[in-house]
Amino acid sequence: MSWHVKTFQDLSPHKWYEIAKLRSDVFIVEQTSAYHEFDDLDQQSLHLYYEDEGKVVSYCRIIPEGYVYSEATISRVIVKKSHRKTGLGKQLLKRAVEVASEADTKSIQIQAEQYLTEFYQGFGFEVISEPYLDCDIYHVDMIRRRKDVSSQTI
Amino acid sequence: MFQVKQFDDLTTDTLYQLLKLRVDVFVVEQNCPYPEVDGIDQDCLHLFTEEEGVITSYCRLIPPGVMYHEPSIGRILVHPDYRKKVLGRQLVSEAIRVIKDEFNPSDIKIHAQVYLYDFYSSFGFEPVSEEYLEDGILHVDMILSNRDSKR
Repeated sequence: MSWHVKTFQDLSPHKWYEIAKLRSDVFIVEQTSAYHEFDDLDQQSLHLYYEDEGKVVSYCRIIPEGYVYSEATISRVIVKKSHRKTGLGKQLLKRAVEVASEADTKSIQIQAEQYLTEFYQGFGFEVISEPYLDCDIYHVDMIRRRKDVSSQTI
Repeated sequence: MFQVKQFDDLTTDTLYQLLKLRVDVFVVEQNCPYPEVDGIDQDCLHLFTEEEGVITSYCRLIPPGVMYHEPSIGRILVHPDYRKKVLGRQLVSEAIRVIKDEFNPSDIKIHAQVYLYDFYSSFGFEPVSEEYLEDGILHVDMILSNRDSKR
């Protein structure tokens, strides 16, 4: 049982396949969404995941600033079905925020599925857009401002 | 021109490109949110063509006993920008050749999308099932018998 942060180049084909399968199972199949899951941003991203008995059960990627937004972003946030309701999602986000904000020195912007707004608010994100449909799922844009311009805490 | 690789011989970069192309074609283009990354690729051979760093055609060769008793060809695709040439035909011919070479099977069985029935028939595949819906797309099982040519 351990956390890992890896560049794409550090992932073996087997580990990448495992992550790709988990993402496909959740975002394409479970959410019934026929969209471009693999968008060529992964090669530039950091991949944060938790392994239970050698298997990835929680995952997200951190895309550096300048690719999607001027800020870094966290996306493809997953807890495997078998491991939900165990607090793993919170641990994942806490670590992702730490990495993406470079220890609170930078802001992070995310595109959140709207039903998870409160979850992300718990980590200091605030809503900065109206809800909108993307791939038939309601989203809101949220930002977590860096510490010296905001007094928000985790 | 054709490259055939075991899963373990693929780089993570090439694997990424292959899976991306598969999702772009079979999930997005065919509007079908199904388990594209299904967990059997580690057992397959991966056959593809590449042009200037772009994967232009691809299929996986499934060994006997993994999906069917017979070996099979799956995820057959030509990159959208490289269609209407002869790449699809070359790909399937090569897939059949490699399977015969690797597995020496009596038969090759595929799970064909019905709209490609004539295409597969032209290689000698014959239907062995009724048409059926899977993931919202009409399919038919087809077999290419190798028995006559077997020594």
